[in-house]
Amino acid sequence: MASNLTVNVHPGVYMNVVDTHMRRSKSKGNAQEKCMGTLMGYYEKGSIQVTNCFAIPFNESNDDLEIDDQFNQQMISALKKTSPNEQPVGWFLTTSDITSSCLIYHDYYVRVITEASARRESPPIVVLTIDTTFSGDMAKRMPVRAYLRSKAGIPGAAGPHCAIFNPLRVELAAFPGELVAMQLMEKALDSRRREATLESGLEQLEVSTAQMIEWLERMLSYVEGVNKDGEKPGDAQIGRQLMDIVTSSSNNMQPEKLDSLVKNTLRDYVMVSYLAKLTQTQLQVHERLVSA
Amino acid sequence: MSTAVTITAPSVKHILLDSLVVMKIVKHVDSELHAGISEVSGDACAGVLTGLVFLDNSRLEITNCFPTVRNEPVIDDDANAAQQYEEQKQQEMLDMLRKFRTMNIDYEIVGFYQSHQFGAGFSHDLVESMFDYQAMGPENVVLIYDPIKTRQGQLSLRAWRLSTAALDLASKNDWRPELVKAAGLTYQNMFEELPIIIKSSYLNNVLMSELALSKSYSSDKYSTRHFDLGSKKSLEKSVRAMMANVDELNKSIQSLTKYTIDKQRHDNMVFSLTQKRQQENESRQARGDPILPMDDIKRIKAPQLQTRNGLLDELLASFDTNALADFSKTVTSENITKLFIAEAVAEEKVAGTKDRTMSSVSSTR
Repeated sequence: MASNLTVNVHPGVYMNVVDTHMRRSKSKGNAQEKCMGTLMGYYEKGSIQVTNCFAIPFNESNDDLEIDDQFNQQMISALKKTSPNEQPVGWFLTTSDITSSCLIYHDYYVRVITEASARRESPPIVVLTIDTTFSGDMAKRMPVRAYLRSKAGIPGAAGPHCAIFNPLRVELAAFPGELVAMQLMEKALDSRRREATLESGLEQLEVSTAQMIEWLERMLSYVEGVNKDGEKPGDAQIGRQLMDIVTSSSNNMQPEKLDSLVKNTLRDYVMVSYLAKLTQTQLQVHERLVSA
Repeated sequence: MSTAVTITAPSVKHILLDSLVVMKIVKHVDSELHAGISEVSGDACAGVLTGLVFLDNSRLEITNCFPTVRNEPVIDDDANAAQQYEEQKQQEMLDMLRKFRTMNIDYEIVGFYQSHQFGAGFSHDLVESMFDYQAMGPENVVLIYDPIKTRQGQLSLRAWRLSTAALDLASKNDWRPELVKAAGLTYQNMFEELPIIIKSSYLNNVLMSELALSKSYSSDKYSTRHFDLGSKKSLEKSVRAMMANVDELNKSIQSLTKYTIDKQRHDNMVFSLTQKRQQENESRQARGDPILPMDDIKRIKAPQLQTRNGLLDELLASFDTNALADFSKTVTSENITKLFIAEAVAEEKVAGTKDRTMSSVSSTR
């Protein structure tokens, strides 16, 4: 079956799931360890894009599985108004394993999604699990898995006996702005109070240039190590990539081209900067005159 | 706008933004740009912010947000339909807030966000919305997100709120030059900017580390977008926007000057007429005739400032221009730095010519 589909998840979805998990209510008798919700997105050729999600209240106590359907439907219609090109494509669960209760949830979702989708045959419905329990052999990580359900059974028998959840490949897809936001949030990993401040362009340039210098030094030491009578084994692939870098840089940064680029644009930038500052000074002067 | 609004001074000094909100805003705006919607019906991708206020720490925590439907163009001039539409939007907002409450998410509205190119886009509508939100709660703010700058590699989010003096004038919706001057309002102290700190929860940090290990991300992560030298087009657009603003500013300044001159003349005229009248009255009194009333003098109309909103347009245009100038300034200075870096990296320099008198603007007819 179409199990070569890739699930492209946007980072906002992950963060929403994590946030919902932290806010799960502890007051319903047995503390809920799981969160469940709907995934929204759109279908593409060969992949399913998941761009948004929201959590729904559900109850899993004593074999009595309840899902708040009205909430689900209302949220779907509300989200449809703001992002009309998104439709429900699946659901998520913050658990470490797929259990039999997932079958029932999945059936429910099949019903909801087939109703909501415009196509005649039922579109592939994704189950996304994010393991927030930090248990078992993945104690230090938070693995993300996606599945597609398919019926399975003994060939020749009347109907399908069981369902198999086929794992799918999960990848991170992001708009360019989202990548920038993620880079900024990673700074919060270093700070003690988990905070990050918006940085100015110059600081960012400083940090990136320092990083580039570090990488170049590492590459240089590697190349020298290989050259010194094979102290380190030379990897042909790395060598090819290095050559690619050097040739492309010498092609694109020919001295005359670079020189003319610098000369031309430097004047323009200085002029624009001057005009901008002049406008600002003018505004301030005008304010003084008017309010005097 | 209601007239009986109590204006309390806000006491929040900075904003703690949850990383989830940042991601949601970026995703909302970027996906609309991606789908090309904003090209068709103007910008103003907007949404509502929810969170909590901590008065003792004087900080505002923004923990979640949701997008609001963009304005449909009013098809018929039926006042009823417009009102129904407003009510419907309110209903949707309340609905969403109720859902938040069910899911244990903070459901108190603490402001709204909007996306504007280059971080400038202060219009009368924005001021009205800001006033409405601040009337609801004195700590509410507006977050302006700049997608262009973010696309160039640097996340740009700024938080603004109206200062108390501006709130005062906005509540009366009266922006006459006298009142503005009396309140000492300039474009610089009309809006207050609040510093933003982005905060991540522990689980979020784990998530970030987990994602960093994913193969597809690490190739994009070290995106050298901010090394890009080719930001000329966006600079052109911002300069053009600045020119439009300066033109508008010019117009409002001319009308202000005209108004001041007219008012001066009018005052002088009234004064001289009153003087003459008084003299006549005295002479008449001396003769015992009835005195002439002063009413008809008072009835001479005082000149009005021609613009619709008094001085508001001028203030907004100045502020807008200021924001645009900020953008241009920072971008150009960064670009100059990048150019120098590129020059330093180049292996050989072309001999001699340090002549920097050429410009890239060839004849563009």
